Amino acid sequence: MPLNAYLIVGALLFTIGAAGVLVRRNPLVMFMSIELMLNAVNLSFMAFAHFLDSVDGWMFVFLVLTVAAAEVVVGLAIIVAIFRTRREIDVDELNTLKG
Amino acid sequence: MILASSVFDFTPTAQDWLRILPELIVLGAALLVLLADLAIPAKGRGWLALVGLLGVVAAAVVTAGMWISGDGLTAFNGMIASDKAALFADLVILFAAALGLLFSPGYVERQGIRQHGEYYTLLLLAALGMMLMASAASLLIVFAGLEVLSLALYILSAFIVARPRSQEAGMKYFILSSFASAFLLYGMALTYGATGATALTAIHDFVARHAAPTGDFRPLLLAGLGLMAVGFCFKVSAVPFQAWTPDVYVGAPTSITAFMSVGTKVAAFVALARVFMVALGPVAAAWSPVLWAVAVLTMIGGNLYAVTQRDVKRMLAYSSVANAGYMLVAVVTGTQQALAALLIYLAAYATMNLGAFGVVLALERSDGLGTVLEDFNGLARRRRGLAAVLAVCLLALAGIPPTVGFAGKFAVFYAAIAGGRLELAIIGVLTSVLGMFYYLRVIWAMYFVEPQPARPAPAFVVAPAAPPASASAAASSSTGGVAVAEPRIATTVRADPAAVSVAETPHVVYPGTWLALALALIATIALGILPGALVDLATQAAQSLLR
Amino acid sequence: MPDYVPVLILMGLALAFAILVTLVTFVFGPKKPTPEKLAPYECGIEEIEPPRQRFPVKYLTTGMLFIIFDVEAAAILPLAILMRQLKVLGFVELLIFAVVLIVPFFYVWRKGAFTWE
Repeated sequence: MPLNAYLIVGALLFTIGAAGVLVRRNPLVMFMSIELMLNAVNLSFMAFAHFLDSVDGWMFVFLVLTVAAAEVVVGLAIIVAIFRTRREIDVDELNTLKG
Repeated sequence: MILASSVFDFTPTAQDWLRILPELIVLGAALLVLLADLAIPAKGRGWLALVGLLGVVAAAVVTAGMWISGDGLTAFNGMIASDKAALFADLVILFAAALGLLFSPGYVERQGIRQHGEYYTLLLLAALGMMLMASAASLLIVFAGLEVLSLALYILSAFIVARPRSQEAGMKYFILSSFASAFLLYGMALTYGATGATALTAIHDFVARHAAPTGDFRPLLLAGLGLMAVGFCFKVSAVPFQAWTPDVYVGAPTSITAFMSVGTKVAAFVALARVFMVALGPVAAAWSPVLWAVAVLTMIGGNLYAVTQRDVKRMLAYSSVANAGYMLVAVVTGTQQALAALLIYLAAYATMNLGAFGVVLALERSDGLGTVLEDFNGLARRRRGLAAVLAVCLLALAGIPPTVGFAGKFAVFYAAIAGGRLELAIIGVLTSVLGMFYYLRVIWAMYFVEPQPARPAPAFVVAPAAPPASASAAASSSTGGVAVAEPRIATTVRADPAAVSVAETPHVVYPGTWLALALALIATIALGILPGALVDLATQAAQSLLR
Repeated sequence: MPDYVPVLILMGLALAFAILVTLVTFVFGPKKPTPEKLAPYECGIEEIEPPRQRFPVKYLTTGMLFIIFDVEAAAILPLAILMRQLKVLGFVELLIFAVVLIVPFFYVWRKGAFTWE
């Protein structure tokens, strides 16, 4: 398969993820969309690493995977912490700060 | 292009470890604090700040030693730089971390934060990430450092969990910042695809060889550049990517705001300089128009927003946006002199901004309010010391001559003119004049406005015989739940009877806070009167990075 | 490849058996549908409360701790592959990594995050 095929799929996934973050209002879903974006980037890195025959891309993918896991944990921790003080979470309700 | 075999030939030597010694010391201090938190009984945990502080000072001493005797080479197969630019940034970050640690014990106690171990560990880990990002010699480490600092700061922003404002800050920062991280990362992927390398020197060599606008890699490289620029602009809170900044800076604990407003800027701008000014310098024509527009928007937008703010903390947040604009001017100019000016400006911003946020932190009440402009009316009479420090720091932020703020602005605008960016210098000077308005307004309020007696008791007038027990009870009731007075940060706070009930007796400003304020004040004035040493250090650092 | 042939044969047999049994019961079995039998849970008992419930936050805490240690431990793999090349300093690197992982583990343990109640 040509490199471009991978890149196009990566770009599509990235766009879907970005649209998800912008459109959805549930933090968990926004959060999943961000993960989708990161994995789209991973796909691009893998494709480049394969076609360039260089290991830098693989290293990056490894790092991104671990970072994504850490992000999941931190994000969930913040959501849980908020959830303990109020029942529902919707980012539109987080509107104390304005100006 | 780095082939698979060449990477696996690498074996680390003891030298590699020595070149990242400051980072290792900070990491060690973070882990030590985490373990000490288990061993120390709950009452003595304020001392954990001291453990962290010792680690930071040790790291700073080692960094200074490396400046004098270090080899300035990269470590771990060209991943991490230990050049003078990295050491300079490390020193500024460690200064910010030290002041952040000094600010913390009193503030943390007043805000009812009990998880001291986590707090100080995360602060040190954030400092570690900043140092790593500023010393990155590879896109990989730029990303790793960025994530280490971001993850720690997400949690720290939401640290006062019971307070809706802090929750909101954490959530917004988390979602928007990881969104931006994804853009930055995609930009890195495309740049890697276009140049076949993630090491900054290799990217530079490739771009320099193929500077002519031909070849298949060109669209990929441009897309990568653009996405990375978006990611970086978000991280340094440049307009139009500044929306998260005021909310996060206001909602986060002020000690964290002080630390992260400085540390994140230093780390992100040094990384930005490494990636754009140095590695992608040969294709400056491709990215400088974009950053030019962002710089102009940021200078104008940041200052205009700041003028309209009534809350001083929020005003300082927008001021940090405006300052990002001045720093971007240096990046766009792109000369070695501009790089030195950028470093000078970063150091200047660190001292004056930490001082200003430090005073706000000392004045903030236990419910997180009390930082509206009206609260500063007549402050000079009630709190002479705090008012003086804030006045000097605001004068510095406004760029008035005998302070380090003037040295920073002068360096940046001079470099811009010398580098042929006269228009940016003019816009910068004009917006600085606009900026003076909102900085001087606070000074005016502190020194020349009487606190109006008709209004309910301002925060720091000694309330008639308010016993400490009732004050703390009122404080705990306001921090415990979603209190009535909580969501208001606008000027209407004073008119609310609930807000009056939480007015406290003037709280003690802790010795650590005073020490930190004194350090910031001395640095702001001394470096302003004698900027020669700073300019010299920054020039050496710039020479190590951009030849 | 020849090593996998028995496995493939076994998988094929299992699949064939499953299809065969399903087909046999489908063709020869008596069919008397009632509303209860067509319900998703055909045990015949009305649901007491909606099945979509919030699961306890405790579960999330355990899950978060699992993810972090699980994925971070995966970073040891590349190091393990290169262990012989990296010699003593590689081992030191591994030790530092292990300390960074073990100290928080100890911390989390002492803070009681592993106990369910």
